[in-house]
Amino acid sequence: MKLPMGIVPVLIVLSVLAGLGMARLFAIPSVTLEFPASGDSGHSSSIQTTVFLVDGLQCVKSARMAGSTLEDIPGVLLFVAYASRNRAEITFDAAVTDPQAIREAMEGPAYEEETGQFLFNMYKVLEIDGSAVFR
Amino acid sequence: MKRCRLIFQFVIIVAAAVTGFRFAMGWSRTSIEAYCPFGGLEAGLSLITERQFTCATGERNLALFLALVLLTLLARKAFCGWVCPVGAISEWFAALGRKVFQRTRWDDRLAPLHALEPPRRVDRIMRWLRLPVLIIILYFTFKTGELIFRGYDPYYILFSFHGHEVRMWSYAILGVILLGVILFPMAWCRYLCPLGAALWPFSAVGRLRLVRHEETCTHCRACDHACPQAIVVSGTREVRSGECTLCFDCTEVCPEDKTLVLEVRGLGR
Repeated sequence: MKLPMGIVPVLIVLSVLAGLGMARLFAIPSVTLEFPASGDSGHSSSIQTTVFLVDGLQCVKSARMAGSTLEDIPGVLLFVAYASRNRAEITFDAAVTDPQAIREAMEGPAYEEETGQFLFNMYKVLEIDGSAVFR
Repeated sequence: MKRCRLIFQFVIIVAAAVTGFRFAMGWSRTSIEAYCPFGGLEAGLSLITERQFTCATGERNLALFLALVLLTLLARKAFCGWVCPVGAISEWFAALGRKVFQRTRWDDRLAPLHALEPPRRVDRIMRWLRLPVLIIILYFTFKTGELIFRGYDPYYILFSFHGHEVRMWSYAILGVILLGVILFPMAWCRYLCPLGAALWPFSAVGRLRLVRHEETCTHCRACDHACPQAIVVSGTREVRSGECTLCFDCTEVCPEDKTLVLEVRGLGR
């Protein structure tokens, strides 16, 4: 069956749109870190998950480092990062800590395992649960 | 059709340059890597074994790669001829090479081509180089969890505006690749491109193909000389090569109107 040559650019445009559309349909975490030792208040009602939009969180390594900044923050239970979207979903006990404390920890020094050094100004939290962070 | 393809290539190159520049200036958080379908393939092994992406790859890379596979199953390597910015730049540099080095391919009958057009047999063997390149990249990407190809990738070097892991030697490599393209026709795409190697099996069974109608063909071989992938169009009833990018350069130069036509494979003549 003969086809017009114009079908090729049409198929290309459709496939690009399909690819970009498909990318919105699923999300696979770059890094998932659990902090079982960080403890919670024991009240499951105070457990909440907040979405942070973080500048600097752009690959698996930087996501892992961002997660490690929360290791010692009491009340932080789970860190799930989506590096390609610069997004981190952090589950914490609101009776023990709050999003601002988490933000401050994340914007603090980050430990780089390879060099054994602390790196500064690695991350900047831009949004917390969709609300822009004012400085 | 040639103008349409040129517009496509130009728009993609401008879009890639703007995306890369905006990211480099800190105006955007989306790097050009996010739009590279090869990233989806690079993340494949890690996704299967560890259920996580590799380095900076993400859902967009994977989805674009899957969409590209679908496109290739239909329209063969149309991505290479119409979308890939490295392919477009290669073509333009190849055209420059043709102007600089006046030499004919195989015989003296038609337009001059490249300075160093390898003999068909050598060309065919050299195309297999893409396979070890692909395997090495995938292996080390999986092993290290880093996108180790960045510093060598012409797409990333060109459009990241001195992005992460681009060093001075990266520009030297880019220079060698561009010089290679001037001397050897489409050298990067034919002999080194790992994405081209990955797409080849899908392209070989692609549904759309150019069919040559023997009854109207004058055997002028203009199509052979126009093909950037050095496919001998005049020697076949239908172009089955997995290298065909459906660029339609052959149909543009064909003096007979209905000799080279696009058809769907398996659905009649």
